[in-house]
Amino acid sequence: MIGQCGMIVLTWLWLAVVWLSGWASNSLLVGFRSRQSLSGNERGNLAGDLATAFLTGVLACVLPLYVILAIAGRLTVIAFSAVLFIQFVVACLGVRSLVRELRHHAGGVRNWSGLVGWAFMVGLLASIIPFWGYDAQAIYGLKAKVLADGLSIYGPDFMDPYRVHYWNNYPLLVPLLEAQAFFWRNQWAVLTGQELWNDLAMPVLLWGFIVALVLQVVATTERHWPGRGPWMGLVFAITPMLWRWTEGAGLSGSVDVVFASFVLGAVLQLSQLPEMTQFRWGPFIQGVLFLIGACLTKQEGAIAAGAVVGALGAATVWKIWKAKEPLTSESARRGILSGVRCLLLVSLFVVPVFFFLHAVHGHMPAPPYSRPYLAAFHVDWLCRVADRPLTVGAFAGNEFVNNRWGLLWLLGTFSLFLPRLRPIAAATVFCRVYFLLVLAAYLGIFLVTPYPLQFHLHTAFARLMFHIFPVFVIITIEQIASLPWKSTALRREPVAG
Amino acid sequence: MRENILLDPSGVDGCVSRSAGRGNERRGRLAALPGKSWLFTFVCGLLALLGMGLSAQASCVILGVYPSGKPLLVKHVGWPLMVTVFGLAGVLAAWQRPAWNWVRRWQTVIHRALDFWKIQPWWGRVLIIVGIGHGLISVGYLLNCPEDLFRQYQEIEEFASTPSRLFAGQPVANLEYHILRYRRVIPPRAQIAYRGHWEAMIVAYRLYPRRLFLLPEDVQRLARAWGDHRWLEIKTKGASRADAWTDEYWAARHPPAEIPPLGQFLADRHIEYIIRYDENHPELCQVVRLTPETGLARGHVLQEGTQR
Repeated sequence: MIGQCGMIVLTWLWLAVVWLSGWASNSLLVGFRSRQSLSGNERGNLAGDLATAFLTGVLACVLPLYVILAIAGRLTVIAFSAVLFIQFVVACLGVRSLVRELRHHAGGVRNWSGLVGWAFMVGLLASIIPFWGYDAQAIYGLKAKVLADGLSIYGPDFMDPYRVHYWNNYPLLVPLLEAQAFFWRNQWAVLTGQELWNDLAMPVLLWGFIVALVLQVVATTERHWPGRGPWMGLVFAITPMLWRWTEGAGLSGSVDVVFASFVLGAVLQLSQLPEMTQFRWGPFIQGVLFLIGACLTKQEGAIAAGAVVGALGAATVWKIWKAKEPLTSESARRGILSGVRCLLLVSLFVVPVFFFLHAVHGHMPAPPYSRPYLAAFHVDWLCRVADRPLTVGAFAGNEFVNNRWGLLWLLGTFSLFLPRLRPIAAATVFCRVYFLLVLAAYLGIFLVTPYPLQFHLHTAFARLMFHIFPVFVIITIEQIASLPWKSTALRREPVAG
Repeated sequence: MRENILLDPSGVDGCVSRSAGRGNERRGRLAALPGKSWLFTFVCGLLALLGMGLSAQASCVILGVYPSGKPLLVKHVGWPLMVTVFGLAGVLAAWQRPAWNWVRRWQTVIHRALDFWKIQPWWGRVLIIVGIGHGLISVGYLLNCPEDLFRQYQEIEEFASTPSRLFAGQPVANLEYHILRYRRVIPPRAQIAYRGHWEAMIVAYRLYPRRLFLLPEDVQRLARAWGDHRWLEIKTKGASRADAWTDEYWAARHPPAEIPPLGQFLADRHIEYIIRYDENHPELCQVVRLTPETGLARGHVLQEGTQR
């Protein structure tokens, strides 16, 4: 009992170190300012800072290990210890800054009680469940165990096609994160005489990503709709798909919540670029880092990167078009140049990641039971699956009203047809185009998939929609905030005099 | 002359309802809902009591206290708890002359919400209704969460205790039981050939650090069986069978690679055990140990008792 409780506590402590190290790294790189006021917007900024701190912390502890893995093929005790030591030192630097920041905001936490209570409940839930999802165990959990065991990615575990290893060639960001937790938990298990490879409370790692997602929604809401951040965050947070442990949901151990978290971070940061009159490196670097995180989490990162490039282009065109200036004018030319520069810079930073992934995973043989997607783009196959749009459309319709999403898809879709008070900003166009591009790509996958359609729809549709769900929520919140709501007023007799 | 005055952030306003008690007037706070609040209070109280009763009954069913054979009203606690919560919230919102501050604050929130509702156009009200619907569904899931978790652990425990169970009149093997058995029987770091279905991927995770391998012929069988899942058939009510042609199509396009001799395959990978798992035929589930001297060399598989 003590051994298991210790394992749970250890996981929480490790998560805290990751978070604090991210906070300290961001404080050093971006320089969070000491805040003097207590406006809702400031609290929203704090929420956003906490979310980016966690994502940065994760990247800071995984990227060095990924590079070591690419070079040496395996992780040693020294590698695990060195990363933890550096993280611990950096985390110690961040403690003071975070405590000061939290104390500064201590007076305004009343509206946050709902969110804090929800986070506590989900944290408790994460502490008492193991990985129950199929993908969580078969794809990511097994990889994590192999890596924590110090075995080589160039050995039979990854290279033998007959070894039972589901999708051996998938990216390793989440397995590397889990491998660290497994490694340190195993040390504790050896000390206390517990069974090795126990995965109780491993979903605690995903709790961090769920909270980061919610905090990002809170921060963005505060920007669009000051004062409503915690409430809209709570509306998003209670969505069953976000915190349940059923297959594909937040605590199942599937990495879709991790991917969604990185993607939302990237979209929110990069969507600021077309809005700005002058290019700023801060949001750009954070956005690109999170996009890289997404690419290292799932193969769908390639689609996300393509959609980001498309959305950047669309937002630039929108900005120039709305300015109603001839293309030959100086400001239009500056806008075009700024857009092209953003596109080039994003490509410059993200494209090498795909080369890196190819270098590491390219040699791994595809499982013999897999089917090539590229072969599906064949006239013969396409003719045979011409009737699929109807099936996919009907399934999508059913999924969007499935209780596990609450009614947020319905709410967002309805709100998008309502008249707005303020014009659509370039950042909003960015988010909408990104959402549409990814949605189209995902639906396209189901139209041509070489796997049995019903099987693929039932196993993958919800988890793919999870990737774009937070972006859709952001679009919805921005739209609802822009509607001509009537403000509350109570009548009373005027004071005499 | 009247004027509209926005509420301050605390929600406390000088406007006082006629039904408010003197104490409330003095404090300048909003009081209970006006008009037929007694009827509202009564209905809400009734709902709360009903919800509590149903929750208690459902709890007894879940914990196994409820005697079998008796008629059941509800099996889950989620919705009854929701009715309880909303009943209590309604009672508190309509309570006359509340003594506690938090109840008064709650009544202020309700008043503000009602005022907000009244002045909104039709689309605003639709959005509010959908938002409330989202909240109800989500809170329903939240309230049901402990029960779901309890049932899941109960099911795991049940499946781990017996090798098979009856499902739709047919015996079905319990994977949980067999995994525990494999862990008892097979030493860590052993290399194992696994003969089964898609659950192989889960077994590989649960049995780690034991290494699992699929025999080449089984890999080819799985490559043709992407749509062959019991849960999928149940979920789609058999509609998934219509996709079987895709498996044949891709199998024909990608003819199987040459299968190496079994003996060589086993020897190359130092395989010491073979697990056979068939969900539909529990009697066929077994663990087989290969004898290094004879079995591997000749490609023979010798059966041995499961206990070492």
